[in-house]
Amino acid sequence: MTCEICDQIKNKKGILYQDENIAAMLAQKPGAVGHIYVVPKKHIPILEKIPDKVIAQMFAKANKISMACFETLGVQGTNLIIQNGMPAGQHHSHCILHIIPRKENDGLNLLWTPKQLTEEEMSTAEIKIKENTGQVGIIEKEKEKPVEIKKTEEIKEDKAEEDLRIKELERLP
Amino acid sequence: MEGITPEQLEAIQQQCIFCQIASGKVAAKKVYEDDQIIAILDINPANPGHILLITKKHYFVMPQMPDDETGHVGIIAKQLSHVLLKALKIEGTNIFVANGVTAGQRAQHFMLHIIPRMDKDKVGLEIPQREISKEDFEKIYSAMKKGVDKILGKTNGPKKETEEIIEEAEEPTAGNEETEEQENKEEIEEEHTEEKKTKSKTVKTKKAKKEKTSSKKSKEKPAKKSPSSLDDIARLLGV
Repeated sequence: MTCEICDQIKNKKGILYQDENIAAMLAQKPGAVGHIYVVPKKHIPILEKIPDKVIAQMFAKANKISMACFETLGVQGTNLIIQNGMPAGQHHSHCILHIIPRKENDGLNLLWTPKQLTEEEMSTAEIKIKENTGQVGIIEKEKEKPVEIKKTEEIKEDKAEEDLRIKELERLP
Repeated sequence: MEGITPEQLEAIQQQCIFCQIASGKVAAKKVYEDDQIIAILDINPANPGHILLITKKHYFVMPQMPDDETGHVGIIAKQLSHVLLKALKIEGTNIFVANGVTAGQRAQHFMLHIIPRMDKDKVGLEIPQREISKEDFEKIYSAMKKGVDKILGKTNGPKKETEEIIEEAEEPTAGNEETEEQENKEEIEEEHTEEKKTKSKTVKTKKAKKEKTSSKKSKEKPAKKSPSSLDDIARLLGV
């Protein structure tokens, strides 16, 4: 299995920033001028597998790099996008935080048409989500044993569904 | 932001619907809340379960936010994305942020979208993959590399790696700029050691003190680092 992103890190092509956990690089097939990938250095296919510490770094650096886009490219906006899973448009088997510099009339359409939901549909979604938010906000800490034990159990439960998505992504060229 | 007085900020917050939601004055379908952010269901969703992550503090755009807050937003977005996958039996999610009207930002308050996705749901959000010539790639790279170094220079990672990258960037240009960049490197190193010193100091102090300093830092950071262009961005939002 070769990964274009891992290769680009290895070949140091277009690397704009890197530290021990993350890298930022110029996209080889950009959606807009100055399209940048911010990625974990380790090959991680889906968002949920990225450790908290690393995703936090990715967002903080992406924000700074997005500021550099404003100043360097003279753009009027930026989009930060993660496509998590193939139905969400993910093209690579490596999770990417995209920075897309935007100019007026650049031909990109990254907006959706809103759906009109009934009050009942909204409430159903709200209840289903709330039933599962118990673990949200608990930030992974390194070398904290009791939390780790709980987490490994959790991951086992989720493996079945997540493996399917990873397998799908691995089929990507 | 810098040009705005506390009174003006208060007036903005009173008019901002998302500040009102964050403070609980306006009702919304809240699915998560902590001391920094609040997550609500979007009333105009791309798909059922579309979540908006909003900062409690009023920021017009993401570049105004300090690193610890953007990092926290990233972690919670990841965790909520996992929640959506489990709760709604969907097949993927999009995380989406728009900075500026041109990028599709409609509100005057920073927000991050978490959008549940199913196969062929026609939501879009496809990023095109265009071919680019080697020359254009190199041209954009050398410009962006300078821009990124300027902003990230201070917080750059391990020295060895940054040196490697700088060497690489010099290849196309070379010449006089080498000395300049070496000077910059030295500056970076100096700042690095200073940072380390202050860090080790804070580690020694008690937890309670840590919390205080971190909250102070978050207040200081944007004032120090935000470039003048932030006001321009704010202006683009019609402020």
